[in-house]
Amino acid sequence: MAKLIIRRLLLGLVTMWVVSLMVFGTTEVLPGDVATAVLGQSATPEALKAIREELGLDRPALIRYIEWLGDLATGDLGKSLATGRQVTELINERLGKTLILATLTAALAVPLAIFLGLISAVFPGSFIDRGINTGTLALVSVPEFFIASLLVLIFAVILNWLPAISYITADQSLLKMLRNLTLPILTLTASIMAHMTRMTRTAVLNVTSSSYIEMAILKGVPRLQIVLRHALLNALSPIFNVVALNMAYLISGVVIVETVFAYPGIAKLMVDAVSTRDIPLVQACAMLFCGTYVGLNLLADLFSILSNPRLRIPK
Amino acid sequence: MNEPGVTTRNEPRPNRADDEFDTERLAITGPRRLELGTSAWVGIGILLLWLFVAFFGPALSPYDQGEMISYDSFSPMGETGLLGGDFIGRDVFSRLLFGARMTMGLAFIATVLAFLGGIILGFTAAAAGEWVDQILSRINDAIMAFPSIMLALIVIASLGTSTSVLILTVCLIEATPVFRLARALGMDISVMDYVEVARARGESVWWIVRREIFPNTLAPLAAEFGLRYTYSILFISALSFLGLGVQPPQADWGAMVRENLMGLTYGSLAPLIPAAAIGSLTISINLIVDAFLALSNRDISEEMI
Amino acid sequence: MNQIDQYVDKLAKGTISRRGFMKQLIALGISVPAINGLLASPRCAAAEAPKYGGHLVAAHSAQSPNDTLDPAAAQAGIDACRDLQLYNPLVWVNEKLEPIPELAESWETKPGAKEWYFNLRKDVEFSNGKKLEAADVVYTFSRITAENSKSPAKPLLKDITEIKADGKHTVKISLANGNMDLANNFADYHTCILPAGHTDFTNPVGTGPFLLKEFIPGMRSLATRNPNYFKNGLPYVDEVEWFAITDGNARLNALLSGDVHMIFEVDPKALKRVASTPGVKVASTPSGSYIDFVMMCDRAPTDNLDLRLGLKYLIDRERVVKSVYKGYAQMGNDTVVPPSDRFYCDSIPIRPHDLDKAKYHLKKSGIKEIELHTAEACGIGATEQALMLQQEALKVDFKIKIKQDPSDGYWSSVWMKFPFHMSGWSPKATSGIFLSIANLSDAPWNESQWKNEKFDQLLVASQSETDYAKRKALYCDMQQLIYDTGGTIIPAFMDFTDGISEKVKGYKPLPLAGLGGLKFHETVWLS
Repeated sequence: MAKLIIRRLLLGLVTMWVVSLMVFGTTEVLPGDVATAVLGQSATPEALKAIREELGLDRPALIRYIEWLGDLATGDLGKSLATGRQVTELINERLGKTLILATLTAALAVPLAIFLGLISAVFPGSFIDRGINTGTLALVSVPEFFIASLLVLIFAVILNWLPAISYITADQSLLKMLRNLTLPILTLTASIMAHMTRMTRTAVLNVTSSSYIEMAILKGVPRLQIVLRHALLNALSPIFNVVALNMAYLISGVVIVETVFAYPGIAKLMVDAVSTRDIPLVQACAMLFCGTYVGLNLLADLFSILSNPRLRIPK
Repeated sequence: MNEPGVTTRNEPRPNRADDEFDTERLAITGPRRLELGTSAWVGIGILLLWLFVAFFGPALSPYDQGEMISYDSFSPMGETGLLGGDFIGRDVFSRLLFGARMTMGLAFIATVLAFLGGIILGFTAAAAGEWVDQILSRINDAIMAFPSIMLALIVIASLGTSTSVLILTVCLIEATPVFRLARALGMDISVMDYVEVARARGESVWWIVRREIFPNTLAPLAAEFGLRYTYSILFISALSFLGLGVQPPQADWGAMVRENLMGLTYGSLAPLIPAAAIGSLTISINLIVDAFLALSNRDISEEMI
Repeated sequence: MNQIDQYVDKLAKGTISRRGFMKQLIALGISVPAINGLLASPRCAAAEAPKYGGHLVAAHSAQSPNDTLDPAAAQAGIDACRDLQLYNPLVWVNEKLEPIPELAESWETKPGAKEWYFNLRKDVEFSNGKKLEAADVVYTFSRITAENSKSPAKPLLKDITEIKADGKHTVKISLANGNMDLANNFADYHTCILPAGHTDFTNPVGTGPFLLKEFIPGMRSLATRNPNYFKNGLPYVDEVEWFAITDGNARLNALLSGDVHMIFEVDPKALKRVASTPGVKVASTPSGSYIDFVMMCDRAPTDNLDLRLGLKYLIDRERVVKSVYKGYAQMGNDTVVPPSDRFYCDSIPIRPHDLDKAKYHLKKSGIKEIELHTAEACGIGATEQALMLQQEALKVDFKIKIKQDPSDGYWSSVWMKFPFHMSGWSPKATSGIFLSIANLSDAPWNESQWKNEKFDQLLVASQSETDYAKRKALYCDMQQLIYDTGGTIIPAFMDFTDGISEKVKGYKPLPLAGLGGLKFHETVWLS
């Protein structure tokens, strides 16, 4: 088993290396650079040259790449070109906020999705099953920004029950924080539920078609017990995978929610960084997002292996 | 991250030639009957309707997509045009008809290209040696690791907002799950007994592909196509929301929702109609795909990325 | 409740003004002395007296991690407001954009307008207790004019040849060329006065109405009332929370739901909604900000005068004002001088929307189609105006192809590069500044590259002319020149349209910038 885990880790590292090449490469081809972005309308050729020299932008790409990679390995994410502040500082300001939103959303969405998925699996083909099926499909078929806007219109503007923008500070009470975050959490939950619910249902049903389940049925074990006791545990693997996928999305992909609710999270930071061609910031954010994805997938695989003894022996 | 043996997709199906395990009643029953439920027919109906609109809409439209028919914003239904006016006084109904072609067409082209690329590379990875497979898979994983909107942002910031760049971006992002599926299918199949038997019999590769591989992969691939298509539509509309997608004055459903969003507070239909159009199209395709997959004993969630 | 009580209630709540109150009561037949008696009554009087205290929340439209508390380095509106919270400029402006005393209590110049003396107030203290002196002004301005200064305000002060202290409370400024409007330049927020030698902007020291409590660039700032402010009695609110909500809809929703008290820049399409929602109202001011179509005169095809004239006749200015800005704009005549400016030339009639003349000129030019670049960065209504022009062009068989570029990078890769594109400007302190920034032959921001020697001479002459009537005549001549051959189409000057809660009182609009010239915090109170 240890061999399997190590193999996974190495693969993950290789992927991250490819990611770093990709990230560095794409930021190289971005037209305009931080010099033009910072000086804006007051850019003259001499001023541009001066800033570029100051920031070391005139050295060859390969050297900069190696330097960057080395810095990354030691945890030095560099200085933001546009503001001069440490990139780690900028990210830290926003990472906490993103994590809070992601965690709270997951705390609602994941148990809910698994619960609904299980119900569908216990009563397949029934009215409830079809209802959940259609409901989740409907939610995932409508653009996310539309759901967000609709929720804001109804709950903030018309009913005035919840705030239209989500701002949280350290000194707020837990209740106030939850109230401020309700609408973005609901929006995000609507987006990610369908996938997790369906996957739970499928995974459980797939498992129930195996021989030992047949055995249990023939033995007369009640259906609920079959699903919960026997099937669920073995269905965990794909469920972990799908949860990991959606968690990665919650951390790195929620630009739209951050825009509509004016939430100062990391996704928006990266979007702004691309606008200002703040390369170190863009690169750091990109590596962070990809690292999150790779890391979460690794965790999911790990849990799968642990939960399913059959998988501990590589094929 | 997709090692064989860990996800259910790659587990060999229970070898039940004739018998079927009825998951509904958790019992063994006879062979499965081939039937499509009502939901699938509803889906097919809606899809056909939109296809008709995409082809013939602009010819039937009362006004041109850019024509301004009212001085006011968000003029109500019936007063100006069938579905009212948009934020700048254009006819929502006409723009909906023109937009169908743009939205459905763009997403279609992007998905087809994504499929071609994904399948070719995926099958290659499955058939070629370990090294090729590893390299292709790592690159694929790297692209998947990137949040899609960020990737699109960077590509569009580099290359501009033209339609071809948009198609390229969507194609790149949607090709990755196709690659995974094609690779998995390819690997499944190449180790199947009947392929080995056919090979032993001396059948040519092409024969094997045509007679053995295709029929078994058609269902999941077709379903995947439907799914990728809906994701393309939603993704393009998300890009339009951020100002990166289709540019004015082109009518596109996602862009229409975005530019008329303010009308929501007025109770105007202008942002609701294109959103409903997107929703109905994607739901209908999902319903069809759902039914299709049920036929081949898989589920849509396994294909969702 | 009888009718009078209803009106008293309305006055107390602030839903009608004092004048409205009087009008209504007179209509009811109440005598004027009786009305005055009512107004003097405790209830009415209390309604209008400013209240101290409260936490004011206001939102701008854009922010970034580049936000700074260094006035000289400020790039955006969000910085401007913070600078005006923590510091003061030498001079401020009134609603006619005439300079009024701020830190400088008076100023004078000799004939020729080349030598200026600014006399500072003697009772101003910085937040660290230090008293304001001429040396502080010298330090502040020298920072901006320095050789290696990257300040955006550098062009504003480029004519200054010498700044020195003339005694403890007077600053002498010498110019290379005479400039009657010099004082207006010092109303610019970039020139806010800092204590001499101060360089640490994470701990700002200023003379302003508020003291910094918290600041996270790109997120928000909190400032608390300065009890030692030199304008006695001001400010009223205890705390100002200032940040930005970039998405227009989100910003609007924040106002409508009561999350914020004031928002900057409400889209004209949403004004009806704001006006009809109880508890909030539209605050609009005519201004000199505009969106223009730039036709570059130094390259084809826009170097063709007939093409330019044709396009100028093509635009339906009235429709732009009515349809795009819902009436919250004034028609422009293709020069940078707005109708609200004291130097606007009434004698030049506004070019009418004339399809025949347009067709004639366009045909004469021999050009059948052209590509127009635009972006959202040009301002609210830019795309709509472009679409409108495109539609008008179809009526005369002329094809305008619209290319929408991403806002990000527009100013560096599109602006002043393509022959036909759009642009947007916020108002400057005087139209004279505008003319020199945008129309002078060698000005770096002369978008249309329109070069006219006569114009240049007129402009220089007008800067040093001390007689108002003569100046106005010079301005008229300049506007006529631009009208005849210029390279910009300016269909309308947009009003500033902001949204504020009914709870906010004491708001004074200013044509300088939205939200009271971004200095609302100084005079408003919460009821």
